[in-house]
Amino acid sequence: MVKQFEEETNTRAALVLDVSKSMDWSGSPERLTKLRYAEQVVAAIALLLIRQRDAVGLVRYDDRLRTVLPARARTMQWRRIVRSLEEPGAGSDSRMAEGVQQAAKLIRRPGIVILLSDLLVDQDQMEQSLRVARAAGHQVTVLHIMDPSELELDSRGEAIFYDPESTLEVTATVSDVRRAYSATVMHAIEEWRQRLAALGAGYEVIRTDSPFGVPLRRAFATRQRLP
Amino acid sequence: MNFLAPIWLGLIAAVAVPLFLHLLRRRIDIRREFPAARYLLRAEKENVRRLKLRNMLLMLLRTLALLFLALAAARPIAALLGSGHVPTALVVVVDNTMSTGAIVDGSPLLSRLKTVAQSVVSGAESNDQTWLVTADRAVTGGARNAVLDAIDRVEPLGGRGDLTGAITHAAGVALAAGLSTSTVVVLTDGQASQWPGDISLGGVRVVAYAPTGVAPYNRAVTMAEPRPARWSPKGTLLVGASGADSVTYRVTLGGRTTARGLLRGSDEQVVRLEPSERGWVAGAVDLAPDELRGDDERYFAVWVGDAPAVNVLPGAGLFVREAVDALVQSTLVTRGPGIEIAAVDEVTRLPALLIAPADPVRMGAANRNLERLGIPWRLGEVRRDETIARGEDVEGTPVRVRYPLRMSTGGAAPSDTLATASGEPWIVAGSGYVLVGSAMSAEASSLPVRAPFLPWLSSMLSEHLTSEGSSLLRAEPGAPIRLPAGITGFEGDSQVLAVGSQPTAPTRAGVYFLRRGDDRVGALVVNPEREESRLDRLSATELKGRLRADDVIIATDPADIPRHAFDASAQRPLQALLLLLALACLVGEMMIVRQAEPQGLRRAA
Repeated sequence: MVKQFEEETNTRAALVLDVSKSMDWSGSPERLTKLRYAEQVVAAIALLLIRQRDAVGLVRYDDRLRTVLPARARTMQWRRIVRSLEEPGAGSDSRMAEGVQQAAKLIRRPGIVILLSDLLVDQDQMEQSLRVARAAGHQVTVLHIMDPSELELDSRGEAIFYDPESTLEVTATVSDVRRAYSATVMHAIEEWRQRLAALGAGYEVIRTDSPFGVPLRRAFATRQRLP
Repeated sequence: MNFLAPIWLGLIAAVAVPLFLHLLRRRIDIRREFPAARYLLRAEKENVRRLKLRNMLLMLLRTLALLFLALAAARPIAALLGSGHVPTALVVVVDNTMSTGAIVDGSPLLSRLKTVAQSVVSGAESNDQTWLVTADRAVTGGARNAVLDAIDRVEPLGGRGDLTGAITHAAGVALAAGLSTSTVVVLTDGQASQWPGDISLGGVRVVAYAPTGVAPYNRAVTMAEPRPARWSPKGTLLVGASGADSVTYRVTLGGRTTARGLLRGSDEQVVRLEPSERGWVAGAVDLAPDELRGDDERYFAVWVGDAPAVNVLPGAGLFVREAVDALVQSTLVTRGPGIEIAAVDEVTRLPALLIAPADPVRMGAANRNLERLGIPWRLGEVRRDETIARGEDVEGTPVRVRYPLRMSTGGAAPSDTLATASGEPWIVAGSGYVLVGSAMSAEASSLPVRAPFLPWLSSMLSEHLTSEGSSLLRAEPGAPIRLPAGITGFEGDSQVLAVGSQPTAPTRAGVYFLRRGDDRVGALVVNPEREESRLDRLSATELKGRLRADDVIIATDPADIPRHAFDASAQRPLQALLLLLALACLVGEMMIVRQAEPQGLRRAA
């Protein structure tokens, strides 16, 4: 006779939030910035995990590590996380590799690393840091936060478009490049999806003009411990 | 290529606007923060060739659209493709002379001409100007519908009209319009008698329609002449008709049929009549109707009353006395104290037929008597030279001894002189007198010994020396007339037509009594010209030879006329074509621009 057990252990999760200047942007004053939107997502995920008695930690980074909260499963942890979200950020660079590596260190045994970023970073560097996290046995999920105006150019006329985190400036007539831009963005998203899939990481695009419940459910559908 | 409004070519400078904008499109001051600028840069790099091509295409389309619009505004015409026709001053001349009333193939030819005219005018566009000119030189212009209505109202004239004058007038109207093309469309039956010679029309384009085929056979009353003009009360009527075969005729007088007869060939017949009516009486001679009804009836008028009384004095001469005897016997005159016929120095009162004395010695007494009678003429020095008289009833009469007649004051009115000899007045007439410049002897002239002497004398007595029945006028329809003083209107068909400042005969044939107040004081007989009854036509080649203009097209098929009317040279307006091209450019530009417009945000995932 064989007796079967289902062991139930608490999960340890690290939320990695990109707070660089590019995240502090919205294509419309009627919408939240990507950062504000991502912070709400972070708070929601943290609350869910803590209610399940899972341990949650937080790493915020821009051009340096801004916040590092070790994973805890206590109720006070959520308040610490929310307070940390109000700390300054908006640096002129995204040191994503450091953030992910720090998150991987926060959880000693295999857990979950959830990255929230607009992914306006070098793809190879990011892939390398995620590969390290995966090697440590962590499950990695990337939530790609995008403003609708980044998906499709919805402005008109000619302008000089500049990147707030770099010296990059592009002069363009919106009507001329609208289609090509959309195709480029879709292509980039598909690239991210394929690269992360190859690493065994989850990937989901979340638009700041839509409720984040649906993409979160999709992103964590395989995580049975999440509702 | 020519331009009707070349000033608008200045708009072509507007094509520089898209070029300028294209060159300056990168000079922009608007800066927008956009974190995903890297994707924008990538998009531009990956599509740089397509974007350049698209921008070039947009610039080209915008430039072309402006170029086409500027050219269209200048209203170009060229011998290229195009729609419509060049703006045309179009004058349609409808020949509505009497001959076009002839029935051909079951309908009047005029109605066919009107149908062609309407189809021509219907082809006019807003840039065209149209007029209608009829053979009486009446002009109707204005809106196309007004001209169409005028064509619908055209009726055949009662006579010959003035077709060549109408065509010349039409050419003047067309040229005066100042449009790029002046076209005169002539719709005629090609009646040969209407085209006696060439018509010079200057720089207009002429499109003429003349029907082919043989003209219909036509018989016409050519003669309905009362002799003398004043019946007392007997008289004769000279009747004649055209045509080679026999035809029956009927004479009506005062509305009653008074005689019938048969005319053989083109003979003339004398019909003796003695009407019971008195005063002015209207009559007509008519034939059985044929294809041209307008000339199957010819009108006349006669004054019926007592014969004038004549008193012949000894100085009148033997020939005059015997002629008067003959007139008395035929009851055309009576003897009495009415009209004196005598030598000039014998006449005691007017009315009188005054004859120059045979003896030049009496010339002084004769002139004194003329002065006493209030006659403005005087006898000049006697001339003894053989010459020929010119004048109605005395044409060709040799004159050997004569007194040239001279006015004592001022010049003579042309109508006062009835005959001349060597260009000098020989027989003159005025109120109550007729003065002859030669004695009535065989030595002085051949007049008293020639056959026309008796009718001449009768005519002088009844038409010039009798107050009643002397006001008989004859005219063609619509022709200008000279009325006796005091005439207030024409009475015809129970209507009285007012007399204008420049009186013309009514356009319909008939007898019109002259009214002075409520009194009938004369008659106006309106009959068509005899040559209008000859319907033989010119060939198309002959007709073309008559018309002298820049371009003459003769069409024998009425369906060709509307096409030729606006086919002024090979040049056509390109305005519509250019507008279409500009529209196509703008539509193309819009489609290219709209391709880049957002079609709803696409889900990234």
